[in-house]
Amino acid sequence: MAYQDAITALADPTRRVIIDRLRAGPLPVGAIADGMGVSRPAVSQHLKVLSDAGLLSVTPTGNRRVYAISPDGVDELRRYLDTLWDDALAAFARAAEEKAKGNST
Amino acid sequence: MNDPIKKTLTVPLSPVDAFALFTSDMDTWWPKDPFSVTGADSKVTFPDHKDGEIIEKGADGSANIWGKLIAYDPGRFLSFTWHPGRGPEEATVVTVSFTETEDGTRCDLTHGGFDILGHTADAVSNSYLKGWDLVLGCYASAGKVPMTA
Repeated sequence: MAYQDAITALADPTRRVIIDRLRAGPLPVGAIADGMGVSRPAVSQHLKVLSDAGLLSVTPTGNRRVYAISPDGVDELRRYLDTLWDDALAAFARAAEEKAKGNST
Repeated sequence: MNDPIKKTLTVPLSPVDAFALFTSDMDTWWPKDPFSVTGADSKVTFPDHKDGEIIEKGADGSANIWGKLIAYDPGRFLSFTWHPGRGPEEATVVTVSFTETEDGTRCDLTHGGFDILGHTADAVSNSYLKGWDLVLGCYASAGKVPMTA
């Protein structure tokens, strides 16, 4: 499931830093990697993971690739929250049924 | 998409019993696998007073605060902040109301506080991503445990 990919991708602190850097707007790889203390190929690999998880979009501009936050990925995460409450409340309803049975016997 | 999440269900219990099950007995039904910081072996304690904290205690002795009670009105209304795995400054807010019906109790849950999420057109603005962090705050830590369920 894509939302699980997104959660897993963001469990890595370096990738969270990358997302932080993209908050203000789209950036090319060089600007993202600048001063991060991580090699540029490593940053490129992280960007690939984030893109594959649907969290980033990439736009080729001339000979550069510009990365931006993907709204679709954000939407996935919100859907994940929605799923959590569906699952949790279904479990709550089952527990309530059990408790009701116990009360009536 | 920044609207609050809203869920409604009816359970065959009195409002007082439904409220007690949801709160003090949360540990008995909450799907800790996968929705917890430390997994299925953790224990969730739910407070019984305003300002009390919802705490997940890990089998390893760790304690993760999920949120803090804003309102606690047994059998009627409940509200708490929600930030598993993150700091309270990144909390969203959950409210649950319990209303007696003919066949039990209707529970209305709202999970909001995403208000600062911007319009999709402002997807890369600071406010949008701040909101995204709020949403994500709940589950970033859950990503560290197996998510196979």
